[in-house]
Amino acid sequence: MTFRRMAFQIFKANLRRYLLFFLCSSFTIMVFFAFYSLYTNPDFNDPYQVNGMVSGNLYAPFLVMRVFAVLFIVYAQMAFLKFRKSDFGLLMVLGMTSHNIRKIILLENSMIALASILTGLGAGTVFSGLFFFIISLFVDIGNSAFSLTLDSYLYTIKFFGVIYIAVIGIHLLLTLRYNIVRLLQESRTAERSFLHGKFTGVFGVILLGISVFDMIIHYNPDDARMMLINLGVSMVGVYLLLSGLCDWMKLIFLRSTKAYHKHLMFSSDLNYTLGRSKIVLSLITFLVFITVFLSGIIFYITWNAEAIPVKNNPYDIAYSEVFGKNSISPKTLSEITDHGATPLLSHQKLEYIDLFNFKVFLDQNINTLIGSDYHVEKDHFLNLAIVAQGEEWKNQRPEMPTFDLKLSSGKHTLYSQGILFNMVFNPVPNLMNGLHVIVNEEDYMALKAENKNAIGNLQLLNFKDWKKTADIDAKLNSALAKYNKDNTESWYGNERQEALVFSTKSRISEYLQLKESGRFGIFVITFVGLIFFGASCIVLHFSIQTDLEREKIKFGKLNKIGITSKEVAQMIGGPFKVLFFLPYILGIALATVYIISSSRFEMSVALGPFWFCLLVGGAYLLFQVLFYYLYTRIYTRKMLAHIQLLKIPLTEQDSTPIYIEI
Amino acid sequence: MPILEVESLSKEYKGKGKMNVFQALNGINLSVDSGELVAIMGPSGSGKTTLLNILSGIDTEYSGVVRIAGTSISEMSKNELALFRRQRMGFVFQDYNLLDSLTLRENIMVPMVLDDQEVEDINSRTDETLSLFDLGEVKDKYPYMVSGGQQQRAAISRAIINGPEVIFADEPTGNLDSKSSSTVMKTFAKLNALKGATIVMVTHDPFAASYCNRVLFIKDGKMLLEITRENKERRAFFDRILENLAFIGGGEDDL
Ligand SMILES: Nc1ncnc2c1ncn2[C@@H]1O[C@H](COP(=O)(O)OP(=O)(O)O)[C@@H](O)[C@H]1O
Ligand SMILES: [Mg+2]
Repeated sequence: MTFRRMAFQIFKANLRRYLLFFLCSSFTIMVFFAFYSLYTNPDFNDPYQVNGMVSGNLYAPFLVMRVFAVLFIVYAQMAFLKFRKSDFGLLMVLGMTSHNIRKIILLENSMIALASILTGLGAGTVFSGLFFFIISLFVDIGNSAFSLTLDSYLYTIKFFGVIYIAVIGIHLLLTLRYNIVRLLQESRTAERSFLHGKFTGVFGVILLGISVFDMIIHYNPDDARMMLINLGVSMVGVYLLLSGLCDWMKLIFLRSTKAYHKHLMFSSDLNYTLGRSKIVLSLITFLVFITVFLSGIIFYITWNAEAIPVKNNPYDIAYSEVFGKNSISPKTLSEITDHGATPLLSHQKLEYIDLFNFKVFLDQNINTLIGSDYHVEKDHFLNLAIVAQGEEWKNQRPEMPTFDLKLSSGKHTLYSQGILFNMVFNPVPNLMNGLHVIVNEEDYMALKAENKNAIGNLQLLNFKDWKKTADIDAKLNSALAKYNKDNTESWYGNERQEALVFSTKSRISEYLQLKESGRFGIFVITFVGLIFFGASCIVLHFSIQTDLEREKIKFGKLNKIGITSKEVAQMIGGPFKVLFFLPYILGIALATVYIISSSRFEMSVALGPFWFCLLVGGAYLLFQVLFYYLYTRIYTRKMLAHIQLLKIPLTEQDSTPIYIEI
Repeated sequence: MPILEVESLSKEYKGKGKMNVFQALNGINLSVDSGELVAIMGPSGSGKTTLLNILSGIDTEYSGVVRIAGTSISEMSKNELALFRRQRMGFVFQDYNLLDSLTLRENIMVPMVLDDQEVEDINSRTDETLSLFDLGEVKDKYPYMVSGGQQQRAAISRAIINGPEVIFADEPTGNLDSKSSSTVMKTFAKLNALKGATIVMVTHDPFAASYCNRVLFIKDGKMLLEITRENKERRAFFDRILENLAFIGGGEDDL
């Protein structure tokens, strides 16, 4: 029998295992591809077509998706090779050299890798179209069209190619350590990794503490790197915690002989399960943590969609007349506002001078508008920061120390009198591309006299019910766009950009955008969450399957001593509960702690997301409970069937099927 | 007083085809008294394991009657049988049947732990049996770390931990070298003599069988004959066993 034929026979005999492994890999590649092609779809990323808030919602999930793809493929590969290890032991007993084994590993795995990538890309091509279509049902994607770029294919191939090459390479290196005895014994002995002991667990907890502490101190929603580092640190922490857990459990059980006896089987099973499944449990913890954390935040934002536009926009609708732009007649305006769904309550104005990089306001005007009593001294000015966020943002906005007034009489330097954080008006687009300064009357008048055509007028409209202003806002925007087109010269030579810059800034449009991006976010995160849930189920299944033979033997032995079906069910359920629920509880707890710490323990801020986190976590836990019951039932049934069917187990040693035909 | 009674016990293994029925046991009658040490011998495939599996309730598909201590096990459900087996029988296997993830000491206490017995009882009984079988030094080792003889002695300890009415052993010395094998047999003899334990043992090994009071020979699922040791020397009984094996055929060359 030739080597090639033997390898093929082995391949045939293991088809089922290969199939599961192959399906998992292709599925991951398929989803990855769909994400990547959406993520890089030029239309979808065009802010004129799709609101940036919407497309931005893809960033975090895709990042997580990438991390996941790496971990999942690496894990699946490892689990798969573990299945094969005892086969290899047997083959080596039969006289195969480790060189031959390496050849088998290389052949099998590169075949699977290649097949997975090809299938994944094929299925991904179809699936990404479907994915795009479903998304178009959830959000307004403008005129964006579904398209696939060569780049998506190349990137996916590169991404997974590197993973596979690395994993296979490492395994080939590890085969250098293979020896027959170890391979055969591996199935009998509980794995004892070098990372264990009580100290390991403590160290893990310390790492977790550090990452949470760092989150509290340095949290910044824009700093993805810091989040990723902390995520990494806390995952290492979880891994170490799990590594040390069995030793702690043993210590606890050993303290009381009663508990020791009562949990004799449980603790030895658990010891084995935990020892072997640390990576799986860490992976699931990571998936649960990410899903709960992200969906908690997104659900909260969507649920909270009314508060944010109100906070960000002190007026219901605002727009600015400047440089001849937007100067629609009062008649046109009142025609729109008078025929809306809700009556206009007030129409205020704020005059300013637009010096492009600087927008200059008069202290009196602001006082009149908002009822404050700011007073700018002679030769001074006030920096104005239009921000609505809390305290932590203040140190991110530097204070400009001097401001030069360029007048025909010469340069006149004003000195800062301080920085003012106040959401004085809506952040209207053409007002936000510059710094805001407040000056006193003398300077303002001098400036105004020399910049007659740069005088802007901010129009601030308030209605009875801002939530009914969608129609008014839309009409107003088209009136403004029409006016600008008919009466002024285009600044950008691009109608869409022009409309964007001189559009209104209203509560209602921000609200609608938030809701839309929330819908999209919820869709994406639910999708990702479902994939992760599926992945965690598969990972659990893999991990349980790796042990199936060993468990069958164990229950066969116990059956011969005498064990009731109820006891079998209990013995299966114990370690399964830990396997199924420990990572979920850890992940949910971690996500909750992260949410609270990212709000710096301001309970009023943290409470909303906190509840959502628990809610989402609870939903996932519910799914998991269902999965647990289903899985445990089937597994227990199969196990019972197995031991009852085992009629002549005594002399016939549990033989490993030998599939080599000679 | 018989502790184990078997009346016209038959067992068929059904193959895939309709006609493919194999008669593994064919009308076995058997009675074992309390305190007996009985060996069952016979060529490979004669149905010894099948018989023992039925007697111990592991196999429940058969026709005939099996009574242990007056209770008919044919009428029990599988779960009742499991409890009966654990609490009132002991079982020793050729492959020891020890759990790999437990130490020898823990393995020995499994039946008592499963029965949720008192901690003090478990500890005292376990330590007692450990010293009885000379396992004190290896008690905290895992099965794969100790010799076959030590594993089998641990398995015997486990079989007797619940003070069973009868102990079944299927080729308990089958995997052992002759030295370990005689230690194990001496252990059985000691158990039988000191504690009056009833032991029914399947063996291929005439030397092991010579430790017993009575040897039954079966072939092709039928009881062929039985011989008793009475007051003979073990050596003399050993010779008689060899004679009978030669008469039956297919004994030794089948090891
Ligand atoms: N599960 C089974 N299905 C079919 N036939 C079996 C099964 N187990 C054993 N047998 C057959 O029954 C006969 C008796 O087997 P066994 O009791 O194991 O013999 P012994 O233990 O005396 O060597 C053998 O011929 C064997 O092939
Ligand atoms: Mg047998």
